[in-house]
Amino acid sequence: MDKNSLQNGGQGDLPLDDLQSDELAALDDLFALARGTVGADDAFQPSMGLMDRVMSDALAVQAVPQVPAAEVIAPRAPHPLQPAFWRNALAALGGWPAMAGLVSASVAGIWIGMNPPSLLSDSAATVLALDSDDYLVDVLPGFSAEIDSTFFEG
Amino acid sequence: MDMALDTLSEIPDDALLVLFANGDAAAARALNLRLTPRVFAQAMRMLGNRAEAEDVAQDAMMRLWKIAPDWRQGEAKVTTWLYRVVANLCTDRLRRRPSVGIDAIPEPADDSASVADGMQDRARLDALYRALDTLPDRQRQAVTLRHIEGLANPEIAAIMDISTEAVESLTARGKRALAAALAGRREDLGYSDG
Repeated sequence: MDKNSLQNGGQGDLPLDDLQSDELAALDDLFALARGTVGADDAFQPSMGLMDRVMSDALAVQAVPQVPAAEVIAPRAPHPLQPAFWRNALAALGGWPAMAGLVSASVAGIWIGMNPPSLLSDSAATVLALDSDDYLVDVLPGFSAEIDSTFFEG
Repeated sequence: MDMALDTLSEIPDDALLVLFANGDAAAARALNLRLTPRVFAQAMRMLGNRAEAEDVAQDAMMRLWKIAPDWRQGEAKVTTWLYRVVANLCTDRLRRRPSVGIDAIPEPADDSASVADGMQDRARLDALYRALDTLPDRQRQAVTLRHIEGLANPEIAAIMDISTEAVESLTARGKRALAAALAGRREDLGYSDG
């Protein structure tokens, strides 16, 4: 038997049946011996010192305030008035401080739009030249004439 | 108010864990008595060294105490979770050990690590554990859980987070490698040829 191939456990593994039966029997005996020692041998029993240390750890962890397990285990239903979309949107904007600034700016904008200060009205009139038609630019001056000629010539 | 230990003995592990998370000291005692010996025995079988096994057992139990508030009942067995934690902790420790051939591994310094009364049984088990040490991590873990812990393949699959077929493959390869490693030590193990 090629021990190297066995040890490598590579693709060319021999099936278990090909191992000598006495080798497998010896291995099974060893496993049974190992299983049998569990619980019967003092070496596998934890010392009182270990039990005490684990208990001390447990009590120390319990002493730290924790969220009760029941609250964690119970599924948390989303609040009907605060779905995840709005919570996420609020977080994306930067939270409540950013939202406060945004609301203030919006209210100020609406107020200025409804009741513009006279200074702003005059400035806007100047900039937009509301008293003239100069801002009406004919972007396709020949277009209408061409259509007209097509219409009338055809 | 804490419940009496005999009352708690009927309560499943995950329910005890909820009681523990809610501050029940008796639940802590019951879990300690129920799980620490099991955790220690597994670590002892994987490491063969009492001091290291105690460290691993304490570490694993500490992780259990800390995860208790977040434990979701019914999703996983506490014992399966602990098997996985202990196996990973032991694997980490075994990796840190110097890698040497099976014959170069010294006998355990601590006599208490010997695992049988008779000298012959002790030698045989020492040989088994030293041969296990030579296996790749996953093979050693699968073989230990299957043939020494006596767990079923589906449970091992859950612990190792692999498929049942992968468990079968690992244990078969591990068993072959073990048989090969022990083949040259039949005299030491007290078996006569033929």
